[in-house]
Amino acid sequence: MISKHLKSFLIHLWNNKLYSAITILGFSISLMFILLLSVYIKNEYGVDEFHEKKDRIFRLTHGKDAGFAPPSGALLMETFPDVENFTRTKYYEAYLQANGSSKVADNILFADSSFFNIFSFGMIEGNPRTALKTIGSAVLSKSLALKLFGELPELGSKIKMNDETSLEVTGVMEDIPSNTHFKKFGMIINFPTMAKVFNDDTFLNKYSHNSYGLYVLTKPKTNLSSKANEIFELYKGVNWMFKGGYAKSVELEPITESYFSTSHAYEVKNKSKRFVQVLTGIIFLILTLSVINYVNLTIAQSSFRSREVAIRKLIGGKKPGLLAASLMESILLSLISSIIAIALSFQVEPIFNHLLETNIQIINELNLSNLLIAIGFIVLIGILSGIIPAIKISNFNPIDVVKGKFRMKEKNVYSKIMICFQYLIIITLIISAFFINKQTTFMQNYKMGFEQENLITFENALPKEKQRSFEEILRNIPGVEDVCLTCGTPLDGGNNNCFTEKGKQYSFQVFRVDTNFFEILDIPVSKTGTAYDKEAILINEAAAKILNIEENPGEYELFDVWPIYGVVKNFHFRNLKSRLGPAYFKILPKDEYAWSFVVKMNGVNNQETLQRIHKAHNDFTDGTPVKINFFNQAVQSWYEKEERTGKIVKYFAILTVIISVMGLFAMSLYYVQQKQKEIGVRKVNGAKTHEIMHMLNYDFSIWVLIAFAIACPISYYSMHKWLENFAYKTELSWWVFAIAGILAFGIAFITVSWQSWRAAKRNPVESLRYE
Amino acid sequence: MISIKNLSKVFRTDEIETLALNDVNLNIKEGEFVAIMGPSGCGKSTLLNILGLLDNPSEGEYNFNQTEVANLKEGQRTDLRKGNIGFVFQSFNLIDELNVFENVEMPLVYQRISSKKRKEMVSQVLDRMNMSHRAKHYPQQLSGGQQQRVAIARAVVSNPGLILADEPTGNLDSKNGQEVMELLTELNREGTTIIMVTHSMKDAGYAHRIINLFDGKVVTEESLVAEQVF
Repeated sequence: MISKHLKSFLIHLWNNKLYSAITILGFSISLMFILLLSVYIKNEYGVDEFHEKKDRIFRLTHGKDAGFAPPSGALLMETFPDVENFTRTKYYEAYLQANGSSKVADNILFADSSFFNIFSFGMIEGNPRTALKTIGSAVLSKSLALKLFGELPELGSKIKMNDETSLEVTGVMEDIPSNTHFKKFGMIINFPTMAKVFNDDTFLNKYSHNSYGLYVLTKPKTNLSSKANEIFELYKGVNWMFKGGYAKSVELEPITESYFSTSHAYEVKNKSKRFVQVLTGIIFLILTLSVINYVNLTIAQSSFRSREVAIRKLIGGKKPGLLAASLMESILLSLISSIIAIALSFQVEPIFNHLLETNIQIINELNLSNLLIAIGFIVLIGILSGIIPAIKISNFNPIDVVKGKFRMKEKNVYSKIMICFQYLIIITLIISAFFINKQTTFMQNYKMGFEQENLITFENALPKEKQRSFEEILRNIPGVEDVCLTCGTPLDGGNNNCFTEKGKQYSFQVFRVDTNFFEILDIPVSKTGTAYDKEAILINEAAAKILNIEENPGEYELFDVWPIYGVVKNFHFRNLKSRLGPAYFKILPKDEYAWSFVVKMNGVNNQETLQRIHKAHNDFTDGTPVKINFFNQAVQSWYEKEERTGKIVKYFAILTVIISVMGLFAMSLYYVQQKQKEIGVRKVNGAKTHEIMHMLNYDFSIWVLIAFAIACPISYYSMHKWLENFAYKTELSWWVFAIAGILAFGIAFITVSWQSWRAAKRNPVESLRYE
Repeated sequence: MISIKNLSKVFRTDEIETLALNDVNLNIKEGEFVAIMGPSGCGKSTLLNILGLLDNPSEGEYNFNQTEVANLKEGQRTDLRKGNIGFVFQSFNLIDELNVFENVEMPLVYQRISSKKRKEMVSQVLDRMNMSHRAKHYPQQLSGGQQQRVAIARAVVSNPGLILADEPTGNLDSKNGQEVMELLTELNREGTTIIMVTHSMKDAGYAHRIINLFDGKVVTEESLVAEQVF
C-alpha cells in the first residue's frame, strides 16, 4: 500500500517539476548550511576533548590574564597534595637550523617534561616520559622535522636555534591538531632551557616575570577548584602581582573550556563562545524557516492532490494509513534533499572554511555513528515538516472534494507574520551587509597620510653593529630608491610613552627614525625655525594641538630639554578604529639598534628588486629567514576581519533571500488558490489584469513594508553600535536603507507576481465553472 | 442587440477535442427575455460565456450592439463588458470577505465612478432589492434568496442593457426562486435584455422565447408570446 502511494507521489513530483524543484532545492540548501554549521560547531565544542585526562587538567588564570611566574607551579605542587603534576608553557618565535640545512622560522613551545604525561599529543619517536627531561632537549613536530632534516631524524640529532642555542632532538611528535586551544607550534623545548636562552640563571626562581602559562593535572577524586582561594592566598605571599592587587583572584579553568576562555595568553587561541552560540542560533533559525516553508509549500500544493486522497478515502483508505503515507512522503523528500545537501556541502566547503577561518572536512565526518544521527535527523525533519500537511490532507472530506466544493480556506495570518519576519531579517541583513561593506571600503580607501605604494618593511635580525653596513648593501641594490632604519613605523605604531608635563598627564606615541623617514613616507614636515641640535624632536600636529603650542611650537621645549625642530603633518599610525593621537619623533642615532628596515623601491620591477633584497639578506645573515611586509597589503589586512564579517553577513542574507523567496512563492500560490473565485468574480465585473495583480500583490506588499518599517530602526541602531568600533566611520546614509527596501520589495514583488500574473490572466470562466 | 452567425467553440486538451458549440445562429433583440435550455453538457454555459464576452468563439461571427466582437482581445472585451453586461450565477458568487454594500459596489469601482456617486447608486439598487437593511452584513449571514438578490443587485447596479443569468434559481427553494424570477421579469419589463440558462421549465415560462440546445446545436426555438409584443 505504502509503496503504491509513494509511486503516485513520485509521479506527482514529476508532474509538478517546479514545485518539486523548489521544495527539494530549498530544503537542500538549508540542510547544506545546517550540515556545515553543525560540523563546525561540533568541532568547536570538541576542542581539547581528545586528552585522555581532560577531566583532571586545568589551566590557571587570574581574571583577564593567564600569566604566572616560573616558580608558581612547583610551589603549588608542594603545597597541595591534590596536584599530581604541572607544566609551564611559553610561546616563542625563532629560526632553526639543522646540520647544513637552511634556516627555518617557526613557533616554539617551551614546556616541562610532564607535558606529554598531562596532554595526549601523539609521539612518533622517543619516550614521552623522558623526552623533555634534560636542558636543551627538544621534541620536533613531524612537519618541522621533515623541513629541517628531509626525513625523520635520529634521536640525538642536533639543531641550532637563532644561531646560538644548541638543542638535541629527543623525540618526534605528530603535528599538533587544530582541535586544541594551543596555537600551532613546530617544536617543544624543555622549559628550563629558557634560562640559557635568556642568559639569566635566576630566571626560574624569580617571581618578577608573570607571562608563563601554567597547567595542572589533579589527582583523581580531588577538587582543587574549591581551593582557588587558598591558592590565591599562597601566591599573595610570594608574588608582587597578587600582593599589589594587580591580580585579584585565581581560577582553575577546565582544559576543555580554555578555547573559549576570556583570559588572554599568547600561546592560546581565544574563540568567542558568543560567536559559536550565534551560529547555533542560526542553525535553528534556518531549520525553522525551511520547515515552515516546506509546510507552506505542501499545504499549498495539497489541494491539487486532494482528489487523489479523496478517492482513496472513498474506496476505503483509512485515516492512519493516509497519515502514514503522507509522512512517508515528507521523509522521502527530506532524504532526497539531504543527499543533495551533502553533495552541495563538498562544493561549498572551501568557501565556508575560508569565511569562518576553519578547516572542517565533511569527508572525515562520514562514519557510522554520524550516519545514524543523520538518518534520525532526516526522519525527524521529515516528520516535523510533514505532520501538519499530513493531518490536513487526511482530514479532507472526500465528498466535498469530489463534488468540487472543496476549497482550502484559512486565515493565513500566521504565514504572513512569518513572511514579515523573514523580510525583517532579509532587510536587516541587506542593510548591515551594505554598511559593513561601505565602512570597509571607506577604511581601505582612506587617506592615511603616508605613502604606501612601493614600500616594504622587514624586521631587523642583525646586531646593531652590522645594521648600517646592511643598509649600504640595500642602497646599492638596483631598484631600491631609499632605505631607512626605524624604531616604529605607521604599521606597528611605535612605542607608547606616558608622561607628566607641566602637571598634566599625556600619552604619546614615540617613533625613533632616520632623518629620511619623512621623505620616504612622503609625510610633509614644516620646520619651526629652531636650530637643529642632538636633543631636538619633531612632533605631529595632534601633539602641537594637545600641548596647545600650535602658534609657536618652536619656542617650546618638551620636558624643558627637547626643543621642537619641526611639526609633522598628521598621519595615521594605527588602524582607523582608533583616533589619530599625538606623537613625537626622535632621530635614531646610527649606532643604536633599530627594530626594522623600511625600503622604498622604484616601482619599475618590484618583483625582481624583492628577489635581490631576499638574496642580499640571505647572503648577509647566512640564511636567516626574512618576512617582508608590503605597506599597502599590511594596511589592507587591518580590515580583513571587517571584510570577512561583511562576507558572512552577505552570504547569510543571500541564504535567507533564497529561503524566503521559496516561502513567499508557496504562500502566494496558496493565497492565489484561495482567491480564485474572487478573481473570477472581479474579472467578470470588469476588473483588468493589472487591477487583479494590484489586489493580489497589495497584501504581500503591506507585510514587506511593515517588515521594512521595523527593520530600519533595528538596523540603524545595530549599525550605529557597530560603527562605534571605529574612530573614522562612514555615514549612515539614507540611500542604503532605500536600496535595501527596494531590493527586498522587488524580490517579494517578482516572487508574488509570478503567481498573481498567471491567476490574473486566467479566464474567469474556468474558476467559476465548478462553483 | 445580439447577432450570432455560424458560431463554433472547440475545447482542446492534449489529446481530446470537444466541440462545445457547433454552427450556432442566433439573434436576440433589445428588450427580449430569452431562456436557453438543454441537457447537461450541451453547451449552454459555453454559449452564455461567449455572449457575455468572457470567452471568444473558435469560429463564426458575433455582433454585439453593432460591434463585431468575435476576435477581441481580453482587455477590449473587459472594456466592452463594463457597464453593458451584468452576470447572475447559480452559486451567487459573492465575495465572502466583502459585505453586501461592497459586493454590489464592485462593478462601479472598476468603472472608475466616484465614491459619492457609487454610494448613491448602490443605495438605490439595494433599496429596490429590499436589502438596504443588510448593507453591512456579510454573505454568510444571509439566506440563499437574499444572497441571490444581492447578486442581482450587483448585476444591475451599473444599469447594463443585458443581464446574463446562469441557472439563477438552481440553488434556491421554490419560494425564493419565484421571487428571483419575478425580479428578473420586472427588470426585463423596464427594458433590460435578459438571457437565462435554466433547467427548469417553470423558470423558462417567464421568458418570451426558449432556445433548446443539444450537442452544441440549436435544435428548436419556441416563442411563448405573440411577435407583436416587440
